Amino acid sequence: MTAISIESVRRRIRQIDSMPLFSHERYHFAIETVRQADVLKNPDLQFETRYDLCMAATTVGEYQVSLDTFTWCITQYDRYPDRFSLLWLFRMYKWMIADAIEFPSIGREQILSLLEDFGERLRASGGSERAYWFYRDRVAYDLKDFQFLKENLFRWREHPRDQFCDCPACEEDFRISFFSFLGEYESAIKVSEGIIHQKMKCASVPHRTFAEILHPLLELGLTEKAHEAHVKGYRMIYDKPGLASCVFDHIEYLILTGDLKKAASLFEKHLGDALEMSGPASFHVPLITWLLTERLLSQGKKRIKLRLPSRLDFFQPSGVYDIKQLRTHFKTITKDLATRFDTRNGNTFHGNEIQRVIWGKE
Amino acid sequence: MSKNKNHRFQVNLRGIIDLLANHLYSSPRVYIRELLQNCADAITARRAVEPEHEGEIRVEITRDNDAVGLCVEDNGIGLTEADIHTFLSTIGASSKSDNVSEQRQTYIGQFGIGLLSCFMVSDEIVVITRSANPGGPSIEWRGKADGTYSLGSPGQDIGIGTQVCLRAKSEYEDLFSPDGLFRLISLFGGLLPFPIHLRYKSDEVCVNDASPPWRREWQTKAAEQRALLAYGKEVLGENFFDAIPLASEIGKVHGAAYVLPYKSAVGARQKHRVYLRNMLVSETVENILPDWAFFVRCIVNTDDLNPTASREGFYEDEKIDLVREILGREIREYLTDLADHEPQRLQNLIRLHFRSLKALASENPELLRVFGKWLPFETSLGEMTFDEIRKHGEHIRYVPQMDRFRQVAPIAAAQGMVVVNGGYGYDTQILELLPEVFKNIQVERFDADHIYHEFENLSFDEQDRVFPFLMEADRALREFGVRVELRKFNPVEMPALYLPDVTQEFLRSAERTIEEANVFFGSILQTATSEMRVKETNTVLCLNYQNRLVQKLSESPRGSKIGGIVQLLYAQALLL
Repeated sequence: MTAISIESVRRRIRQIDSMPLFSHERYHFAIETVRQADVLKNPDLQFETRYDLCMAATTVGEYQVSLDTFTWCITQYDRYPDRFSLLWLFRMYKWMIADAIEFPSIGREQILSLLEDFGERLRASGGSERAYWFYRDRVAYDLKDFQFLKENLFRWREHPRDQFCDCPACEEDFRISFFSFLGEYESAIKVSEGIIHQKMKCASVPHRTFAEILHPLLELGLTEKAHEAHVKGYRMIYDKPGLASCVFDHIEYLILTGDLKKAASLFEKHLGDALEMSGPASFHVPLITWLLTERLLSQGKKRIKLRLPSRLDFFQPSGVYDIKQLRTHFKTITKDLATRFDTRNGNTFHGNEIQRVIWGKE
Repeated sequence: MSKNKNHRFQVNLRGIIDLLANHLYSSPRVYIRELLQNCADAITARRAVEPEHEGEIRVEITRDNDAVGLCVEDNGIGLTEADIHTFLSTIGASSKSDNVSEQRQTYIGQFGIGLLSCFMVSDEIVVITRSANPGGPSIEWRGKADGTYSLGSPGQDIGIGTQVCLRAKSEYEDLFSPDGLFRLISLFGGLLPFPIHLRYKSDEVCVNDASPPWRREWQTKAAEQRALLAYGKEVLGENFFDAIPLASEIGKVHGAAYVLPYKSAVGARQKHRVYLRNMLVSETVENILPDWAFFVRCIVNTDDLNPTASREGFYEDEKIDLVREILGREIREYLTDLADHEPQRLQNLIRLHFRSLKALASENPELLRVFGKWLPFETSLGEMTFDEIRKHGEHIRYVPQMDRFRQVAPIAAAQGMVVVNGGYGYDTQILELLPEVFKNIQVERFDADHIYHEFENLSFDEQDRVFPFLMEADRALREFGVRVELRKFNPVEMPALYLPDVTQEFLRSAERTIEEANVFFGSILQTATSEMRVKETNTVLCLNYQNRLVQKLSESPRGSKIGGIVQLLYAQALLL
C-alpha cells in the first residue's frame, strides 16, 4: 500500500514550486498537499504546505482560504516562535493585510489593528519599518483615505530595505496607483516609465503596471501611449486568472476608446475568473461590466451572444444574453458593493466612482 | 566659489570600458561583431554614393614577436580628419546617428560605442583610414584605453577604406586564434552580403561563401525545404523534424522556423538566432515568436526591428508585436497545410508537440477544428485522441483537477466509462471549447460525486451488521471532518473513494483555526467566513463493501484496531 510520507509531501512541495503562479492548478494541488501534511501531523510540513497554499490562494483570489491558512500559521508561530520561519510568516502577514481589505464585512478598525500588530512584530524582530509604512500607504489607498495619503505619502522610502519588504518592482509599481488616486497623472506615468526602462520585474510587474497606467494616459490625452500600454499589457496577463481584474482596466480602456467589439470579447473570456475574486478588485469588475452594457445599449444593441462559463449564476445555455438584464444584474451588484465599502471605509469614494465611470461626472 | 560657470564631466574611460564589459555586452567576443559592423556600415555608406561598388572585408591575424594581433580592413567610405575627431574620439557619437529613424533602416550601428568594445580585448586601437572624398590623405589614429589618442600620418597611403588593428591582451589571445576567429566571424558575419576573407600567414579563406537559403531562388518547394533543413542542421546542430519558411514585410524579416525533433517543456522559451541587417544580434532572442510556439526554434534576419543598446536583443515595441503575430500566422498556416496535405506527418508532429499545439488550439477554435481530432488526452481508459474519445459517445465527461481525476479514473474504467483528465495545462480550456467547434459534442464537468450516487447500497441486513463499525470509523475520522459510508462498487480491488466537499471542508478547517487562534485573529477570520453557509460535513470516505479487506474489517468485532485501519484507508484514498 502506498503511504503518505514526509518525502512524498516534500515531493509535492517541490512540484508546487514548478507550477505557474497564477493558476488554479497550483491552488488545488496546494490544498491536497496541506491535506496530506495534516494526515502526517508533522508541524513543520503543516506550516510549510500552508505557506504554499496561502500564496496560491491569494494569487487566485481565494482570500478566505488565505486568511484561514495564515491564521493557522500565526497561531502556531506564537506558540512555538523558534520553530517556524519568520520570513514566511511576515510574507503571509502582508498578504493577509491586503486580503482582509477585500472583505467589506471586516471593519476599518480591525484592519488598522492588524497593521499595527504587523508593525509591532516587525520592530520586535529588529526589521526595518519600511514594510510597515509601505503597507500603511497600501491600506490607506485601499480604504480610499485621501487625506492620509496626501499627508504621509511614501514615508516608507525613508527607511532601508530589508528581507521583509516587498520586492523593489512591487514597491515602485504601487506608487503608480497612489499617484493615480491622488490625480497626479504625470507622476504616475513617470514612475511607470522608470519601471519599464529599468526592466524592473517580478511575478506581477510590469504586468499590472501597463493596466494601471491606462487611466492616467487617457486622462492626459496620450492615446498612442495608452494603445501601446494596452497591447503590451494585455499580452502579459491574458493567461493569468489571478490578474483577471487587471484585464478589466484593459476592457475599460477599450470601451472608452470605442472598441466595444474587442471589449465584449475580452469580457467573455475573463469574466469567470474575474468574478471569482472577491472584494474591491471585483467592485471594478461589475462596474466596468455595467459600463459595457450601458454603451452597448446606447448603440441600440439589445442582445449579445457570449460564451460564458456555466458556473455563473446568470448563465444562459443558449449563449444569448439580454443586455438590459445583464445591466440590471451588474448594476445591483455594483451599487450594493459600493454601499458596503463606503460604509466600511467611512467615505463616498465608491459611490463617486459610479458617477464618474458610468455617467462621466467628476 | 565662482558662480554660474559651466564645468564638464570628466569621463573615466577605464570605468566606461568596465561598464561595457561587465554590464552591457554579454561577452568580450562581441568586439569582432562591432568591428564587422563598422565595416558593413562603411561599405553600405560607400554604395550609397557609388552603387556599383563591390564591398569586401579582409581580416588578417598578425604576429609580432610574441604578441598576437589583428587587422580588419574594409573598402568602405573611410573617414576624414573631421570625422575622426567627431566619431572616433567622442564617446556616444555615431557616424550613423543623424536623422536616426531613417539611418536605422540602413545601418547596423547607431549608438557610437561600438569601437570602445575593442578595449575589452586590446589596450590600443590603431585606425588607418582614407576617405572616399576626393584628395583625402591617409590618416592614422591611435587610441589608448587610458583615454588618450594621437593623430598622424601613416608611413604610406592606403586605398579608400579603413583598417583597424588591435593587439590582443594576453588573457584574450584565444579570441585571436585562426580557428577561434573563423568561428566568431562566421557566427557574427556569416550572412553579410559581401565576402569576408580571413588570412593567417599564407593561408586565406573566404568565411561566408554561401548565402542562406532564403536569399536563393528555388525551383521546387521540396528543394527549398531540403536546403532549409540542411542549413538548420549546419547552424543549430539538430536534425529538425521540419522547417517552415518565414517572411514578414513588417520588420523586413526572412528566415525559417525549425520544428524541434524532441518534446519541449510547457511554456519553455526557445532561444532564437536573429540577425539584424545580416549581422548576428543574438543566439538567445526570446521575443520574436508567440509564446505558444515553444516547439520551434528559428533563424531569421530582420532589416527593420529596433535593437537594444547592447544589440543583443530587440525592444519590445509595437513593431515586434506585429512581427510576432505575422510569424505566428505563418506557423499556423503551415499546420493547416499539413492537415490538408500530409495528415500523417501532422499526427507525428502532434505526438511530439501536443502540449504546444494545445496551447495554440485553446486560443484558436479554427485550428482546434483543423487538428483537434488528433490531440491526445489522458482518460480513464488510457491515452486517447479526441477522435477515439468521441467514438465512445458525443457526451464527454472531464475532471478539471488532476488529483480528483486520479480518484475517479479507476471507478469509471471499471464501468467502461471514458472520463478525461482536464488537469493538465490547456486541457480544460480545450475541452470547454469543443462544443463550439464540433457539432453535437457536449461536455460536462465530472466529479466523484456523479458516480458515488450510482453506487449500490447495502441491504438492510448488511446495514445492521456494519452499523457498529460505521460508528467506530466515524469516530476515527472525526478530527479530519470526514464521515464514513459503505457502498458496493467496482473495481473490487479499490477499497475506498474519497469525496471531498470543498466548501464544507474549508469551513471546518476555518472553525478549527478560529478555535485555536487568539481572539484577535480568530475574529477577523470569523468575519471573513461569516457569509458562507455552515452545514454538517458532506466530506465522505466511501468504503467499498465488495472489497474483501473492507468487508472483513466492517464485520470484525469492535475495538479490533478498526480506527487505525480506517485512518490508513483514508490516507490511501487521499493519495490516489
